[in-house]
Amino acid sequence: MSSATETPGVNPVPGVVADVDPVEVAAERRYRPNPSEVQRVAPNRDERLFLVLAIFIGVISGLLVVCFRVAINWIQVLTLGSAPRPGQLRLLFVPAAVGLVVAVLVQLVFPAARGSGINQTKAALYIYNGYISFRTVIGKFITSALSIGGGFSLGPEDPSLQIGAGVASMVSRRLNLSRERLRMFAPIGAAAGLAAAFNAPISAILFVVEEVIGRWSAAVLGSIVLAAISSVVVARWFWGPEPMFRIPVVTLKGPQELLAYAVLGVAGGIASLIFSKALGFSRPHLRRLARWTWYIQPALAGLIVGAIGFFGAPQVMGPGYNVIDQAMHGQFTWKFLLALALLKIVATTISFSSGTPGGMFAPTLFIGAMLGGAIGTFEKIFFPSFHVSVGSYALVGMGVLFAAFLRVPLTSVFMVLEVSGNYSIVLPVILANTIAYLVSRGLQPYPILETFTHQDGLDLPSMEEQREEMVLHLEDALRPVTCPVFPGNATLQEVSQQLGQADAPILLVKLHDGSWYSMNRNEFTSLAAIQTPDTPLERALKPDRVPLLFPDLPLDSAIPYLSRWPVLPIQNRASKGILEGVVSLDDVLGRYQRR
Amino acid sequence: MSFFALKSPLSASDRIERRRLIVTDSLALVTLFAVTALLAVLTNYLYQSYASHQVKLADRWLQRGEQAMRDNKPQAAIDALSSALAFDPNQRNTEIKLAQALASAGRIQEATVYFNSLLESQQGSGLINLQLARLAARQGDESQAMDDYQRAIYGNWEGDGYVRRREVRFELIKYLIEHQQLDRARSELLVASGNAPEDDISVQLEIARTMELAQDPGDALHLYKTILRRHPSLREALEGAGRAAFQMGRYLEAKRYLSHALEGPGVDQEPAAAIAKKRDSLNEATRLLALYPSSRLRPSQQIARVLTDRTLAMARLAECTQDRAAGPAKDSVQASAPAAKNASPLQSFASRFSRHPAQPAPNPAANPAPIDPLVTLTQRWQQLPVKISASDLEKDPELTQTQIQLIYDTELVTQQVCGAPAGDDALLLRIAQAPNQVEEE
Repeated sequence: MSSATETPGVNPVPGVVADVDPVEVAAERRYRPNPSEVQRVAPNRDERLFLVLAIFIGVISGLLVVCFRVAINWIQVLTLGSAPRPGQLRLLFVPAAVGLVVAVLVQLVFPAARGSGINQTKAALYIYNGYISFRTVIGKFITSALSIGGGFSLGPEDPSLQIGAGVASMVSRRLNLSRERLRMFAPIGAAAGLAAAFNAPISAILFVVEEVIGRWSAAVLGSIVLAAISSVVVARWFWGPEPMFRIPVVTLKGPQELLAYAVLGVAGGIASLIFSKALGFSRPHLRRLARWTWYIQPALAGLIVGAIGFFGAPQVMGPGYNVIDQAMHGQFTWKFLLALALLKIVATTISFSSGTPGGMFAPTLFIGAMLGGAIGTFEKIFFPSFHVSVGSYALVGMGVLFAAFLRVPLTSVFMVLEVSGNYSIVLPVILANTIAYLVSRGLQPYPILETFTHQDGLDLPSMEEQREEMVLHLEDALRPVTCPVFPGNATLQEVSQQLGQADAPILLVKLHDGSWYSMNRNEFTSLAAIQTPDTPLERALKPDRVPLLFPDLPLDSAIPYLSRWPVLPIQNRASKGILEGVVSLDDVLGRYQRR
Repeated sequence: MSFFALKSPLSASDRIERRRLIVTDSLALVTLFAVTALLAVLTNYLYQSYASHQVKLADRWLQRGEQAMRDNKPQAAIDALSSALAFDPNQRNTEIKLAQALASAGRIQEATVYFNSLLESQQGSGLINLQLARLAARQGDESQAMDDYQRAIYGNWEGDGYVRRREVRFELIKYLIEHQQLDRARSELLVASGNAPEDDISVQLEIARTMELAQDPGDALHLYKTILRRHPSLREALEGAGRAAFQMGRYLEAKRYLSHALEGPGVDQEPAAAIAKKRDSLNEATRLLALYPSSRLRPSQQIARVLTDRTLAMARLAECTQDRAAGPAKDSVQASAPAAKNASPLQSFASRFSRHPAQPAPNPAANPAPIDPLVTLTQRWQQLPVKISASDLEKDPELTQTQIQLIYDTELVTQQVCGAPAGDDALLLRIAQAPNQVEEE
């Protein structure tokens, strides 16, 4: 594993191994695909299998996620009862006992099951060539089901993502696919798992692209879409097509009502900062404690979360989707909603930082819904001229926290639309999410997932940084054409005479068909030596031609050609044949160095 | 690469390897398919086991919620019904019950929000609109309540929609009566009457009773008579017809119906107070009819009644005059000159028939005042002979009619000036208010 990169404000925890089982590393080394032989005897095999496997991965991920959710529900009903109420003693004891069991399982049996699952999937993708072991999948399933069902303030979506990625990894390994394909399968499975968990295929696809792989690619995108759709079909077979939350149609009476949603965006940005700071502070501090405390930290966390439930707010236990639904129907006062949001931050911070496996998606949605509901209820009471629907505020609040905390603005918009099936909410969502995202970025430079990777001593690529990176183009390295340009029908003698006068090291040749050729003086001298002086230049040249390049192309697109050509002419898209300038290897390297 | 180009460069061992690869891949896919099928079976089993348990839990919490509502514990009902919904979110009936529980707990805003969100998915639901109407009524929003009631009446209802719509209409009518919107209430009652089935007596009786509450005794009487045509001995209809006729001033009719009602079977099973009330009404109608100088009577009988009524009216006028004379000094009518001027004739008239001692005349010095109706009345009495005998009336039918009219006017005017009379004067007043109605049938 690479040593942690020092990032300002984030010091990696010394001596802490990243949330990847060392056995996985050894297992990865044992695996030895034979891609060259397979490629030779069946060159299209991987391609044909890819799409078929995407469907299988989608179906299997969907089935596993359904099993996962049912397991959580069963555990919740059997341990906490069908309707937890304040004052029930089981609320204190059950999470603590479950925490103890989960701690033992994680420490002794399933060490790679710790964490939410997103960073672990990214680590598998970027460090271990997409390898996720079967033991990790089973461990994640069992430990997350126990912790979430036992009342910890965690969500099932992130573990579903990792379970899906694990399924994809196992399937692709069994079929002896190439290393490149293996790496591609993890995000396919991740998208399938997340799509089934959310019952929202578009959001899942966008999240995986936005946060896990960070780029679009035709080869991967088709398979991701296929897998996500397959898993959602399976999930809806069991759960039905109804959206997760239902709110009335939102009708904006005027643009001034968007101001109210803007306030929510600002509040969400601040709330995400509080949440991030709490997690960023507590997690490494708890991990730095003695190793034996890792066995009891989840139990203590369970006791604290249970105490919150025991003393008045059992709503913060578990994922809390039914509480979100109640908030959308205006069943709580604004003060209680605000209290729930704050208590959920505390409960989730404690649950997650103690090392209990489980995700943060559901708590993020919960906090956002409570915050949005609180603001909506407050405005309804004190600003009755605004036609406020508490349900719409709660829904927008979910998207706001999603955008600000997880830093996935595009996913957050589609997520809100998909879980509600309500397109009328799109304008407030876009506005509030954008404001929340910008506020969060301004106050907290690093997204929480990146903070976690640094704390774990890993150096995974930051998709947000990649998005914000300035992409260089050829026009950034372009310089004017200073070398002589000769027509293809000029004779070698004519060219030789002009070169002697100009003393130019490089020359360009424009051929009769509009293509170009560049060469240095030595190449010309060699050509001229073996041809008669009256030979047209075009006939003396080698058969290859300079590639067609334009100023808007990425700068790195020129690099493959610069070993062959001393300069590359950059042409105008509108007027073929007219040069915008030229680039050489020195120009390209110099531009990168000036970044 | 083309298919043909693929085949030619492979050696024999490569072809064997390729075949082995195809077999391996096929086996792997078949295994994958089998694993998927097995997982699907397991998932389905797990899901069904939880789904059935979920339904049981939802049902259990729903029953607890309904019991809590019956026990008038709305907060417990809210908790239970919320739990029921958590396990079975798509149950509209549970959502409606939860919203009703919220309303019962006084959480009107939340209940309204809940019902409105339910209405979004069930446009035109009669039940939801009815609940919203009740909530609006509790919040004092009359116009919203009426709109919601109308939407409930014309909305969609499960089961016997006709009966539910009728019940909602009755609820609306009662609401309108409570808020003194009697015209609208009467309109709704007419609609209800038109829609009511002819063979459903209970509904028709309810409509008729509600018409009485809406101060529409005419339509109520008409409806009661319609019922009595089919069920001549129905006591409720007889009583209702008697009441309505009494309210309309049709005392002969009222007497007839009330007599039949009190003579019918099962009367003694009614509460004593109700029986007493009916008897009072009957006695009142009987006495009134005894005072009424009906033209259907023999002349001697009519004249006897006229003379009796005359005595009553004159005493009433004298009493009223005495009371007016003894009234407070700030009364401008009493302080006026015409009043002072006419005080003597009034006083002298009153002294002849009054039951009370005469009071001293008021100060005559004053500004001119409007004509005292009592004075006018007194002058009219003075134009008649002081003593009239039966033979005088027998000889002069016109005198009889004049006397009768004067008696009526006396009661009307004295009621305006001196307030409501009591005893037989009160009965005479009723006759005077609608003399042609008394014997109308």
